[in-house]
Amino acid sequence: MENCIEVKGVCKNYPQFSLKDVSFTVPCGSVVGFIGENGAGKSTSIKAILGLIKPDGGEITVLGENSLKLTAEAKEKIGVVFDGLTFPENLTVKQLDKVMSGIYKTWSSEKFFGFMSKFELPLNKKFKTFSRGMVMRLSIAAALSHATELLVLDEPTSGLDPVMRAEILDIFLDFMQDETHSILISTHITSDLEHIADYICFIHKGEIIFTEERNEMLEKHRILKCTEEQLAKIDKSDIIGLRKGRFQNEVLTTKAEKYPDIPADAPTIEEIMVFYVKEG
Amino acid sequence: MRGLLYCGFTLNKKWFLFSGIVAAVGAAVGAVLLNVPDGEENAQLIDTTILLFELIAMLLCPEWTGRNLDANLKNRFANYILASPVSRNSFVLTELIQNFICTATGFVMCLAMRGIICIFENSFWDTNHLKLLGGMALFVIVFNFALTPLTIKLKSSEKAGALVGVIAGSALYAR
Repeated sequence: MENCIEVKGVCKNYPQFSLKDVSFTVPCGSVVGFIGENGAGKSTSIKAILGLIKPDGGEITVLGENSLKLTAEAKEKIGVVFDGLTFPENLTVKQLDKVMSGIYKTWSSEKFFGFMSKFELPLNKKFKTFSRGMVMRLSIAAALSHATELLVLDEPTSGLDPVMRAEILDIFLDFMQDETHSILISTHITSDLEHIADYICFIHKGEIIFTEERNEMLEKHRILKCTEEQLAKIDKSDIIGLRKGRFQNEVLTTKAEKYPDIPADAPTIEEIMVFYVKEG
Repeated sequence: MRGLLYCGFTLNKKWFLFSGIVAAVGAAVGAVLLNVPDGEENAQLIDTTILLFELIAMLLCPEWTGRNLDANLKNRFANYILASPVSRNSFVLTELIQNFICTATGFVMCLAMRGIICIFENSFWDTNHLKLLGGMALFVIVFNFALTPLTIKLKSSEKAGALVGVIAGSALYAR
């Protein structure tokens, strides 16, 4: 199996929002960062991948199976992390272990309590007393405590401090030590992806803008720092995004080689995203 | 399904306790009222009071399963479960089983309450009244069987309850 997730031409219409012809893949053994601003369609796409909503068009394949007809065996291999507390707030860790062992055949209490010990999470306190960081660590531990081969993460680091985010990203890197494992991580915190993503898929207003290999994407794009005069000479079709400043303008382009006289900087993923959203 | 049932009853256990407390209080109140000097008015008062306690004891248990389901839909636990090896049908079936067990438990609490009162006055073990209780329990079960899938569809127990209430009310009015 080359791709553990294949999304082809997916459409989904809501009164205020639509997914339009969304297509991308998650190759097996890779980390795909799914980025976009708030309301771009990331969570909707994730729900479609997990079979929680039925697309109006297109098809989705997860681990070789149709996402709407995923077998229990396939679901055993998928670990899911949603943003915020996903579990009933009046449960404790010990109770959650019993709940999950009754849901997942491959659930490992040993692994789960191992994570609890590593993350220093209390076993008998209700989840409503947990901080946000504790909640995310709990969710990640639960996602990794069965026979997970594919992690689907929806904003797993949102609202966390940088130290916590680095710790969680290390856990994901550990997970990826096994080459059969894959991750789809949806986030608007693009700096997290600088270190772990192999591919970046950018969604904006329900449409996929690009899906590219991370290094290639970063190499291809450049920010031209130009004056008004220089800006006038840049071909409009070469301008992906423009930011006008008091003293200089910034232009995102993939055609920097056409303008050797204009200073160019390498952008971050975040800058690329902002320029695409702002447009020319 | 086993995990979901454990989750539901773990979160719900205090409501079984409340239901039991209401039944015990109802039995005590009934016993006290029975020791008050007889009179037709008094008999009606005792009947009404005990019926009220029975209603509360029976409805306390399944009421909380509906609230749990509503909370699970809002905090995405339901999404998490549906993304797990639990199928949609199993999820709905688990909710229905929980409702059934909770209502049945409430019914048993009522029987126990009435059984205790019968120690003081045999006539309280009235088959007509027991049929009424059984009918109430059946109504609650059927109502929740209609409500649960609708709650999952609308992602809100209030909206689902309002819709079922309007439909049931209209049907009764039409009759």
